[in-house]
Amino acid sequence: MEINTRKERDVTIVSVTGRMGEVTAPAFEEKMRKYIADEKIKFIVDFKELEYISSAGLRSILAIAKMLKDKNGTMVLSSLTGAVKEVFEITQFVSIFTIYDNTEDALSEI
Amino acid sequence: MDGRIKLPAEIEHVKQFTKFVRNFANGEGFSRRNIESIELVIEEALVNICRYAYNDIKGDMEVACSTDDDKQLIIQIVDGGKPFNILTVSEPDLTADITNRELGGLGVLLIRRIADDIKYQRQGNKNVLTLIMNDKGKQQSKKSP
Repeated sequence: MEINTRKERDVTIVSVTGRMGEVTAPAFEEKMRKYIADEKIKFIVDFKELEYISSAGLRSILAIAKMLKDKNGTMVLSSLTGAVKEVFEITQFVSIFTIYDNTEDALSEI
Repeated sequence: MDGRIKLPAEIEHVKQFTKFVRNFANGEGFSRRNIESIELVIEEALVNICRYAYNDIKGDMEVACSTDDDKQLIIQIVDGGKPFNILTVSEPDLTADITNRELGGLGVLLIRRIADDIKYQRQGNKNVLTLIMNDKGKQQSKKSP
């Protein structure tokens, strides 16, 4: 798993590449916690290049979302595809997160 | 054709199991998309064993793969930990909002929704979980509960 970050206005765009499973998900969570500790509270998490996610990845995303909620922050998701999208549908994460087709759409709305 | 792998129930070994099953399913001609689903259910089942089956005692986990006459992939997962029947665990409330959503239970949910059939038996002091995956029509029929 690889995580790349860029900044647009006050929004932190976090792009996750590869696989987000039991072994790799904690690195995502840790990185997000650092950003939040650094007073960043507006995020677009871009999953365009994410190939695989397990429940460990979902747990990390949910844990961060709970944390941001307490800080009046925002995290939206973008570009879910294939198996990742299916996992989000099965677990109904599609109904608790705002999900955009791409980061451009997310940026114009957030 | 069949094959099996047995290793200590530790997270660091899960990757070897998923690789083994991926190679097996690949050899049987399963599509890439289905192999991704198979890897996911294997990871979820084995991580549960590593985390919860043995408490602090060391133990093994074993995976055996075979195919039947209908070209279904049959994955048998065995551990010697405490009894755990995946079929009787209650599922998380999927209608809860972010604040009230539970962090646990998602792995079992994914296994139940993605596997085409699941069987559980307690044989002596072992948990025997059988996951059956087929290679057609699954993605369309499994989207909603």
